Amino acid sequence: MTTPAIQMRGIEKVYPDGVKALDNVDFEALKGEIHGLLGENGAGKTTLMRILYGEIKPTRGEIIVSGEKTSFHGPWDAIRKGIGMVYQRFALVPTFTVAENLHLSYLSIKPQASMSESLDRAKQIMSETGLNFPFDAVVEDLPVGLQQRVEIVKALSRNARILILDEPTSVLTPIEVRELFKALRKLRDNGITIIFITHKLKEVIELADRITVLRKGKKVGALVNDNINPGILAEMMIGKSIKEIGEKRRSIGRKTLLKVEGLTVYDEHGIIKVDNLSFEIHSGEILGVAGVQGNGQRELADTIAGISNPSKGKILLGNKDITGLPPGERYKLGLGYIPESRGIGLIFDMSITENSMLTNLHLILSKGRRIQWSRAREISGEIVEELGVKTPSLDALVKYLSGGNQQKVMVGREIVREPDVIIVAEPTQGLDISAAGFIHSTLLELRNQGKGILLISSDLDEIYELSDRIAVMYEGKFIGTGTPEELTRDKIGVLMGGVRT
Amino acid sequence: MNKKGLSQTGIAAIIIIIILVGIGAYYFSSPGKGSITTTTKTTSQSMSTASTTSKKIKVAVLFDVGGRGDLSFNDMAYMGAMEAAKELGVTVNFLTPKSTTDMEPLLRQLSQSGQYNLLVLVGFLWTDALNRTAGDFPNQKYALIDSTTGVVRKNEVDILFREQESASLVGVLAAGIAHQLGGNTVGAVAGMDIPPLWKFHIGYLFGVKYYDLKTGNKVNVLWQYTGTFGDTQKGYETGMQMLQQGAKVIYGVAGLTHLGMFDAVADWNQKGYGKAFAIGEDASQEWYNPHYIILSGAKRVDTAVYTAIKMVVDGSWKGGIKVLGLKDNGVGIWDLNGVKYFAQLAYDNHKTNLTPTEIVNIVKEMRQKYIPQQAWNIMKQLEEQIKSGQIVFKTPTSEEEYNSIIQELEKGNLNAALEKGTVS
Amino acid sequence: MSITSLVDYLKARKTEYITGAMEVTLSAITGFFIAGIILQSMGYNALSIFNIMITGGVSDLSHLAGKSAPLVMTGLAFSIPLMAGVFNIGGESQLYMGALAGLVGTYYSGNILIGLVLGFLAGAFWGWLMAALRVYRGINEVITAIMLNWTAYYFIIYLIIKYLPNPEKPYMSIQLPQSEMLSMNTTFLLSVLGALAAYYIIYYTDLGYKMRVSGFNPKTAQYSGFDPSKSILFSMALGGGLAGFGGALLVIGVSSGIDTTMTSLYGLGFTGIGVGLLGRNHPIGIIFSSLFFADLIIGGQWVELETGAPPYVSDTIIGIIVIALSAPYAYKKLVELYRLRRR
Repeated sequence: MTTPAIQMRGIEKVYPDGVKALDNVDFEALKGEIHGLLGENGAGKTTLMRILYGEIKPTRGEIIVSGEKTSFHGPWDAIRKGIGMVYQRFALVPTFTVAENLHLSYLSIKPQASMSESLDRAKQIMSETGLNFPFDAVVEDLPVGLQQRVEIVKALSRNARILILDEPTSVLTPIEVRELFKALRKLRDNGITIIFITHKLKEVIELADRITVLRKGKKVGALVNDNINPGILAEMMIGKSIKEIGEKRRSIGRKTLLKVEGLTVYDEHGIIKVDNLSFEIHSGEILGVAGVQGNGQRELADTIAGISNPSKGKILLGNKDITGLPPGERYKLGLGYIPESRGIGLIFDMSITENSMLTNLHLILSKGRRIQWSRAREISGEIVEELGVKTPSLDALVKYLSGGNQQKVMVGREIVREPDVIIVAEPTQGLDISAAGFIHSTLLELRNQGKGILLISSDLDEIYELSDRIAVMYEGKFIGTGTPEELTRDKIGVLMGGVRT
Repeated sequence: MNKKGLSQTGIAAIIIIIILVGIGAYYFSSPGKGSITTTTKTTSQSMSTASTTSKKIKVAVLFDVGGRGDLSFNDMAYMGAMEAAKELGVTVNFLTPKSTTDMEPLLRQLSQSGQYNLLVLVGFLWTDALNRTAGDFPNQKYALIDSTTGVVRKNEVDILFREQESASLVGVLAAGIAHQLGGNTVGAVAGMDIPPLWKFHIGYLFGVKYYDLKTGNKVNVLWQYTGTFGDTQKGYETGMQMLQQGAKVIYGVAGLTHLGMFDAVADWNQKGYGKAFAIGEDASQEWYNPHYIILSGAKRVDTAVYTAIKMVVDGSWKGGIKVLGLKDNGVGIWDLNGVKYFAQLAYDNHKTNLTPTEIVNIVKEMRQKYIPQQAWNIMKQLEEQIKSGQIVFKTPTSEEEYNSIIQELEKGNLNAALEKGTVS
Repeated sequence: MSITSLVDYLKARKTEYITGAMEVTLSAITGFFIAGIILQSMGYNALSIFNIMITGGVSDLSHLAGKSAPLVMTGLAFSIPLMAGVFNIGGESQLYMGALAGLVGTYYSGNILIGLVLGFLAGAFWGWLMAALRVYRGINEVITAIMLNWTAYYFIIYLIIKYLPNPEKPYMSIQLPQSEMLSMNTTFLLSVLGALAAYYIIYYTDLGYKMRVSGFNPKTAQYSGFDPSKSILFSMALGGGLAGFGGALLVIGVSSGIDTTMTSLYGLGFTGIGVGLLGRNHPIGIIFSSLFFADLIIGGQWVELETGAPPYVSDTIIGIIVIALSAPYAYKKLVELYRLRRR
């Protein structure tokens, strides 16, 4: 065996705030292979590759390119060493034509090059790889798939021998994915090393020659893709649970509180995010939606709350069709929504009282649309008392509260108007154990009061701890549903990777 | 919390340092350098040469909005005031209002203070402010330059100019230049159709016809009101049209608008369509493009300011309207000294790259080459007649009167423009 | 709000107020210090010039009142849209439009109230137009405002010369008779009422609340069911309306007409940006900062008379002090705004 194209040894990355993104990671890619880099969100895949591309400096560790130890001061060093990277967000000038973009990037390695020289180089690569696109189109007018091709050709025209692709399929349609894979295989046959970052099991298994799995900043293992069992990969990616499923009272009511029928949502790029989805939530039930982030969970929650519009489908709250209503009306009718990010659910520069009003404005306005501050303070006082928010004053700015107290304000605000159905997304992200525990018990209590809860979480422990029913979301669909007993961790892991069992 | 505490201490430390440095700087610099230079400044400002111990006369000159550096009214006013300071031994201070809305309150407050024997107001923008203020302060003297409130007050002098007189001299020379260049048309780009401009029209037309009368050379006058004093584009277009109609000389009496006409004349020459000249007005404008601006009519704001101050100094003060003409050096044609003065100002204000000497030399050459001696002689003759009081121009009081004077002049009846005397 | 809750409120905001006060103190010292050094090095006595500038404006209170009235309004015209996350530098032309409408309205109806209302509406329309181009066409509001400022500038000069000339004064538009004018003190009083009304709208109505939420984070606004675009349109219409009201106040209370060189109007909108920033984007703060500005501007005009320093000296001093006072806050706001836009 020849020397590997890339070797990274003992890579460690600690950010200034003390977060350890990578911990003693070894990574190796051979010449002329497609190497899958697999892991969940936040596993450190992209960080590792940005280190390889010279964009981030590692705290510790060494990088060896084609047997030669190197250290990069920036991407330009990496480019000179024949490394190219294609991001999820493309680095093209949107208002320039394709030709101008290619020329611009070619100039960085050959400053005297003429436009025709740059284009000749690009044409040569296009014929070698079969990646075709028009030169004279303005980049922003092209579909994403073609833009991605431009990015790949751009990298290759700068003599890249090692090509890093960060989640390349996340923006593509299935047909585009097929064509991309075809082109990548062709590149590999021409001796190019391809590192393919993904969280999709199906894709690595289909495409990669070898796979490296990362979990929480550590390397779990590297294996050759030869009749690999998706279950093993899933387990490597997600890990085994330490905690057993706790005893829970399960007394799901008969009453349907929320009914979703054939819901279909596209994002602004026309990519399908929620794909003909139907489900129901009953009183006293928590439906846990598991899955890797970015599979349509946020769009699903936003659409139920009325922030995004579905292109098809119906949403019924109780018996009332709320599909066309704006969010404020839905909140008034008895819907609560705790969004995945406190940055969205709260205004940090406003006081607790002002934050308590966000979704409860209808309770606070007088007939003349005047804000009744005394009423607002009553409500925020109730929230602070009920959830035990630690604060010196109701007028304290939310940014001065701890993360747990911020989360309590947000949760409290959504339950204070006593909605029937509550959508909860990533309710304990970034919280310490005691704060998380408090939020969990609050949610269980709400369920016991007969509310219906849609819990979206990428934390499987949380899903198991709270859910009465679990659905696994993958590419806008529930590809598996069942009780926590039916859906074991192994099964869920495989489903999260997009493999149906 | 820890981080915040740290940054607050940091801020506190910076404040203390800055306070200390500040106190130190003032302590060392204020009583010494600062105050001494200020004293010299004040003395140089007042330019006083009077050695009398009696109470010195104090004058405040209030500029038009924009103040000095306009190379026109404000700079001329400054020039006149400085001359008065030197020759009459008065103390002069200046003030530039920020906007027309500040004029009345500033004027009122200055009047109230009673610090100044005379307040000189430069330009028509002061008219309203003065009209509302003057009556309330009968002991405060005011001089308004180039405008009138229309009210006679004992404490107010409104100084106007006999524009017909200078315009008539300009007309003679313009006709002479046109003739020299082999043409028979002269033009004028005027601002709005208002009484002060009628006076220019009458004078200019009179001068051209006077040349006609003396030499027998027929010269036509194109007179165009552009309706604006601030549109250079319009000035350019009007100038171009006149040049295409054969005008060899164009007189600008339209403020900013006629700067566009200057550009049109320059373009016309540079593109080789023919030779043509422009004539400026108010201040000497030759510096703007000395190759093509051969003359400027003078409206001597400096003389007006000086005259007003003098009236206070020598006790000849009398309220009402005072009109300055050729005789009083209130209007005229800028000689080369005047050209040089404004060329220097323009040079100091970075409005031109040519040195004053260069500009004067160019203008001198142009005047020698293109203004025939005959025209100079005729102009001198007319100037004498005006200065001696043999002839006096009419000032039309209505549009009908203005129109009829123009009609008669066009017919060649020169005496129709005269209130006193005749020409033949 | 009762007294105890007010005390609570102040206690809760103690940190903000203390840091704010420190920032202002520090900035003021820095500004005066730098200006002082410049003056001294130019050979002027810095302390006496500062003294003239600060006391010069206070010596005639009604002048001060008349000068600050439009500044209160243009200050609000900048600050209110900023609360909604929009950078309104169109206060200048919004004021022009208001001045024109105020003049025409009062002149032809003989009723000051009609003039003021029309002034507000004209400014509001002009502000709304800038916002609409941003919301519906995605054109950056700063570019729109710069272009529309000049459009309005020349449009008004054209209208004055062509349709509203003053037959007696070629440099003036038609003018309001003294009997149809307000005193300068009254204009200031009205501007304070305007600021209080703005305060009420911002802090006591749902429109103001939604606007502030959108300004802090449009995504949060969407989540809460508020349309950030509507907030942008509303804030620009309100801000523009207030600037227009300021323009009408200026014509009805101070200038009686508009001169063809626009010197009676020019610059008030741009100064309003400084007023808004110095007033920390708060209507009550803006009242005080506009008084401070007006004081310096009026006082600055006395500097030439008293010391012989040319007018640009006091302009420079005002510039330095204002930049020093508003820079830290402006910087923070800009960073915030930029961060939001990038998301």
